[in-house]
Amino acid sequence: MNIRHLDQIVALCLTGFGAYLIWAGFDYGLMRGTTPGAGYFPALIGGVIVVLSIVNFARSLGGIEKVKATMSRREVAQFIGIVVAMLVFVFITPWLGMTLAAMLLMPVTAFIIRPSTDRRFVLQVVLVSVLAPIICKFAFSNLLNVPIPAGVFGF
Amino acid sequence: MDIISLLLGGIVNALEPAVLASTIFGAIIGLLIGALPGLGPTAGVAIMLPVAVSFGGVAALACLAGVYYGSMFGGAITSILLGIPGDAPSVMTVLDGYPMAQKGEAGRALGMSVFASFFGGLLGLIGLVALSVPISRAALAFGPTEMTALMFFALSLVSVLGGRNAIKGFVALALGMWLGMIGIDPIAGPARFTFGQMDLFEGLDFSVVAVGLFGLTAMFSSLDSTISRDLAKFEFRSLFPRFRDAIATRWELLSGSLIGFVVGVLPGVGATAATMLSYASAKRFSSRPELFGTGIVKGIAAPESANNSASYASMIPLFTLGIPGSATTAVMMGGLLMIGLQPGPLLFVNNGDFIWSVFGSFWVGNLALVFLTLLLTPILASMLFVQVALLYPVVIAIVVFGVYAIEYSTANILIAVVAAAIGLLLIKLDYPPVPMILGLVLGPLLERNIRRTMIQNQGDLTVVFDHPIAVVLLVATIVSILIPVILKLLKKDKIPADEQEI
Repeated sequence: MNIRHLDQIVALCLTGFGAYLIWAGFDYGLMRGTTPGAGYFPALIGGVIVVLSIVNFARSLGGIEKVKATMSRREVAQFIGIVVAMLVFVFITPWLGMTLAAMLLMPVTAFIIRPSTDRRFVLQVVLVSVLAPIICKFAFSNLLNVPIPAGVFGF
Repeated sequence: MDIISLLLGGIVNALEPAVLASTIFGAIIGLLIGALPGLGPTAGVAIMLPVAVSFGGVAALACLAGVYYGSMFGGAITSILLGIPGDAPSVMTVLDGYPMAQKGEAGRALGMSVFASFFGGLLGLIGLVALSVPISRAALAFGPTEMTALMFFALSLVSVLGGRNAIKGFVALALGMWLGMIGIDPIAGPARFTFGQMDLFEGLDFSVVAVGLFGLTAMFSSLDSTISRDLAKFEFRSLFPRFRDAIATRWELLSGSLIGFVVGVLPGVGATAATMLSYASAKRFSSRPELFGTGIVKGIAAPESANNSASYASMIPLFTLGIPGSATTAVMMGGLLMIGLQPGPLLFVNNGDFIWSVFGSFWVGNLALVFLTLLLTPILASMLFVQVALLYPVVIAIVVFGVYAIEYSTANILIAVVAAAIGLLLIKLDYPPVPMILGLVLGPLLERNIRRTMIQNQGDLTVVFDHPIAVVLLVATIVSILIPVILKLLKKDKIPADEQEI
């Protein structure tokens, strides 16, 4: 799938989303007599999204709209990898504590960005992954009085 | 004289230890953000938002603004030493800065960029202080109808001017407005688009979306950025600005600052366009235009004075009208709202001490940055080669701690990640993020104003024709929507307004 197809798919998805907003607007209530209800603006915004997304779709189909940006498979894989790592971080934080979870998140992110077993790089990653969360915990917990989740290990 | 005494009082307040420390902290972060390719001022302000807000009061805004104008100082470092712009407003500095560095004049170029940034900032601050009070007083006469029309105008301008594709700009604006609708409807009462999630009853936290949409997205967009060039060498003592250069470039400094100020005030245009216009103007009116681009100090003076002047000018609509004209000022507006203040004309009436202390911090920060930049340039230059694979995990750690600190909730981290994913997809497909964030910030205000007007007038919106200022603004809105069509008919290219177009 190339970027042009992706543009068209997103335009179609947005058209569908706009239609959903219009439907939701009617559901919330468009007008109460002469006064606008909670659904007035969602329906209006939905209508705008539908119309403009159809125009975008038509422009892309007709070759008028050319998206220049690209994303290589490697970049997509890196992006998905980091997103998954951050989602896992969120789920393990209540158990492990935010500081320890961050100490795991950071090296995973570093190796996703640069998969390397170079000894110097690995040492740098380990050092940074230990120091940065400790400094963050100190700064947020002690200086800004934010209760950072501690987890089962109390840290 | 009244303004001067208020400003002096503000400067005194800004010198209090907590505020001064926040200003310098923000300025140093801004210098770093500006110097590093990949993260721009908007991403920097967004990432620092949760941290800065926890400082509270004047210190919070002093820190955020410090990041913004600090990045204007820092962006020139990579432009001159590496020939790579640190951020979009520094693009024009490469044209003469890097050739100067290649001729062995890197120190002289850096010194001029610092001086020009300071000079442009000074003129921008004079304009900010001089115009804020009269504009806010005039805006006090604006009723809800006029403010609504002004918001329409500003949003249309941003959507049209703020990206390559105006149609996608309006779609992004509409999406942002939808995001602002999530939560309990303040007028009619039902919960909208919460899908049964109690976390969403109070709506999306603006700062969480901003961190994801700008901070994380900027990092995801530049995971592969590496610097493969050699750093131009310079001596520390050569960094100090030369009096002779300052005199020789006086017209470029002045014209750049004025152009930057005028362009910076306009919503949707921004510092990048200001630097391009000022460089083009300096070249056009120079007695030796053929020298521009070969490595002359005038080619640095014009854009560097413009981008700093523009950064302060862009805050005028934010503070006086409550309408941010750029992504960075929209994020700053989020910061103001998070500390419980509504930007707009009443800010000068109800919180005069606060606003003048913030202005005072700008003056202090602008001066401090001269010394900070000169002192820290050698360190910043060496930091340019820190790998993204080491730097970005640190930034992500700061982001997750910061986002958690907003409401002590890991759910916000999920929202930030989702915002980043959607933001990256939209940016790659040319949907500009600036209208989206403005829609999120201004959409709820716009909806409330329009619905209240309709409620008060039994559904009759034609009452707007009883307000001549509102009619003029609505006509201007229609004209601004037609700008892309007019440009296309005249076969003119639009000046790029943000990073996506560089």
